[in-house]
Amino acid sequence: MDRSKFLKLSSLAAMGWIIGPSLVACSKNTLFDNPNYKGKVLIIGAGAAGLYAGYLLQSLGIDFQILEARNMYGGRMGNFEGLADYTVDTGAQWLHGNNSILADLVKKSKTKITKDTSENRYWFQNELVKTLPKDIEIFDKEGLPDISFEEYALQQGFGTEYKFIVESLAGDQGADASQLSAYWNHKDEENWVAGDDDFKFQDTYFHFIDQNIAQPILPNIQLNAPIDGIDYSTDKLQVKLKSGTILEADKVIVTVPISILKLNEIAFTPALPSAKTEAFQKFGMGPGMKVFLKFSTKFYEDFVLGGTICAAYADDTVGKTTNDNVLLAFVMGEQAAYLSNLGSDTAIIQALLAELDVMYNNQASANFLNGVVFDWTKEPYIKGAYGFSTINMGEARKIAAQPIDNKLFFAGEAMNINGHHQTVHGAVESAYKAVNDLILNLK
Amino acid sequence: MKKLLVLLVLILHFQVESQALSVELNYSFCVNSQFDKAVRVYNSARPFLTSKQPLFRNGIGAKIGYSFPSKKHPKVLYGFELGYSYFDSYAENDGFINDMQLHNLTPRFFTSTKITNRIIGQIMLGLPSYGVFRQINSAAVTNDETPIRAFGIGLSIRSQLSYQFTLNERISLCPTFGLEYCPFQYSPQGEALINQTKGLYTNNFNSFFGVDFGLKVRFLRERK
Repeated sequence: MDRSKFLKLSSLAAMGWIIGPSLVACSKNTLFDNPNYKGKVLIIGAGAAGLYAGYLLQSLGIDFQILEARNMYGGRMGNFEGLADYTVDTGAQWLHGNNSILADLVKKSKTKITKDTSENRYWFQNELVKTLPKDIEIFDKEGLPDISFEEYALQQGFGTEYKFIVESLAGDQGADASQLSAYWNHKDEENWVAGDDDFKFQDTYFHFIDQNIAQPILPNIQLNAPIDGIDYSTDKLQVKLKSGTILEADKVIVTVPISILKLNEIAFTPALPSAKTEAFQKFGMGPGMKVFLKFSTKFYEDFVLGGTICAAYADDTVGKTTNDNVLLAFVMGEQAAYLSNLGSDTAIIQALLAELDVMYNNQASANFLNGVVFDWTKEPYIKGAYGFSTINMGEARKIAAQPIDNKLFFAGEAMNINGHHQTVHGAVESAYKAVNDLILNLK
Repeated sequence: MKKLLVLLVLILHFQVESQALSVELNYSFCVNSQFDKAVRVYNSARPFLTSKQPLFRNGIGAKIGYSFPSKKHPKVLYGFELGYSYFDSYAENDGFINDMQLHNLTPRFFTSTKITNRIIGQIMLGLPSYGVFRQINSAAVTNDETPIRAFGIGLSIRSQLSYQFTLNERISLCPTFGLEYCPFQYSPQGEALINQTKGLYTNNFNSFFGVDFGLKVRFLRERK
C-alpha cells in the first residue's frame, strides 16, 4: 500500500470513528437507554414524586426501594369510602390542565375524567352573587410588587369587603393572603403550560395513580418506615430509620413535603449547605383541610368563594356517578388553622354548617346527613397543604431542588421549578428531573 | 403567489445575462438539538408509552431558486432560493395518538461556481424559520384554549454540490448533496409544545445540522 492510499484509508477510518458513534447516538429517541447502573437508589417518601421516581427507575432496570413513613402510600392523595355512594378524594382531586405527563397517562390508560365547568359564585357582603362589583383578577400580570396578596389587593382598592375573596384566591395556592407573594407567585406561574382547564376523575386521583404507577412497583415500597437521618459523608449513603435499622444506598431521592424539610425533621450528615436550608425556610406551607358534607338535597351552588369560615366550597359530585349530594369545604391557611383548633370533627362540621346556614337560609343544618374531616396539618409526616412562594422567595425553589454531591436528589411538588408546583403532575415532573439528574451524572 | 410570479417574471425580464430558474425535490435528514432533546425527554419521562415518539429526523423538501452570473466572473453565479422541508413524528399507544410536525422554511442567498465542467459548488447563507405543531388524537394541543405552537428563527450556512447532466441547451438535471449548519436557533416554545413543560431542561438557543439529497431541474434562459 502506497503512502497516499494509506492516508486516504486512514482518513476514512478516522471519519467513521468520529461520525459513526455520533450517528448512532443521535438516532436514540430517549435520554438514557439502558444506563446499566448497578447501584441502589433509596427514595424517601411514597407520594406522587416518590412513586413516579420509582416507576421511572424500574423502567430503567435500576434497583430501588421506597421508604414511606405512613402506613399507606400516596402522600397527599387518598381515598375514603363510606360517606357516599362513591369514593371521595381525601387529598388532591383535580387534574390541573390537559398537557402533562399525567394527562398523557390519563389518555393512554383511557381513564375517565370530566372537565369541571363549575361556575363561581361569591359570598360578598352577606349575599351570594354571580359577579363582583370589581374584577378581582389582579394577580395574573407582569410587574407585581413583592408584597402579599392581601397588601396588594388593598393597594389596588379592594377593601376589607374583599378580604375573603382574596383569601379564596390565596387558598387556591394553599396559602394565607397575608403570606403569599404577589410577585413570586406570578413569577412561578409564568412557566405554566399544562392548560387552564381542571378535570375530575370519575374514580379518584389516588386510584388513577395507584393503578398506573404504584401497583407496578408495589414490592419496592416499604410502609411504616419513617427515617431519622441521612448520612451522605461517604460514597455509600446511610439512611437511618426511626426503628434503628440502617439502610445503605448509592443515591437517595428525598421527596418528603417541604414542611418536613423546613422543620429539620430529617438529620443530614454532614449538615446541608446553609443556602439549601435557607431556601427551605423561604417556602410557605400552610395548614390545609378538606371537609366533606353530605346533604339530603342539593341546595348549594357548584362553587362558592368568599366564606369567612371556609373561603371555597365546591360540589364534590361534579364528574362522579352518584345519587348523593356532597359538598366539599376546601379550607386553607388561617381558616384551616382556626377550624383545626376547634378540637373535634363535630365542632369543625358545626362551624361550617353554621356558615352555610347563613348563606342558604338554614338549609344546611336541615338537610345535613353526615360529614367527614381530613386535616392534613395533623398528619405527622405531612403537616400542611402544599408549598407556596412567600415574600423574598427569590431563587429558593431552584436552590432547594438542586442535587447535592451527585448523591442526594430532591423532588416533590415544592421542588418543581417549571411552574407546575402545588400539583400532582408537578410532583411527577420533579421526580423525572431528579431521576434525569441522577442518570445523566452517573460515573 | 401572484406577487411572487410577477416578481419572477420581472427578474427574468430585466437580467441581461444568462439566468436560470431551478426547482428541486429532496430528502432531508435533520439533527435539531432542541427538538431532539424535547422528544427524548418526552419519551424518557413517559415509560408507559411503549411506542416511542420518533425524532424529527427524516423529511422531505422542495426548493425553488433563481441564479444569474457575475458580470466580472461569468463562471460565478449569484442567486437566491427558498427552501421548505417537512418532518413528522408520529406515535400511537393504545389509541393515544401523538402527532407532531416540524415545518422549516428557509430563504437563502447563495453564490456558486463550477468546480469542474459538471460539478457545481454552492455556498449559501440562510434565515431558517420553524414551526412545530402538535395534535393529540387529532386535536391541537392547547393552553388556555389557544393552540400551542412553537415557532423559531435562526441563521444558517449551507454548502451544496450538484452534478449537472445537460438534457438540452436550456434544461439540465442535477443530483444534489447539501450540508447545512445553523449555530443559532431561537425557539422559545419547543419544550412547552413537545414535552408540555417550560424551563425544565432546555435552552431556548440551540443549533441544528441538516443533510439533504435532491434532484434539481435547472432551466436556463439565455440573453436575447
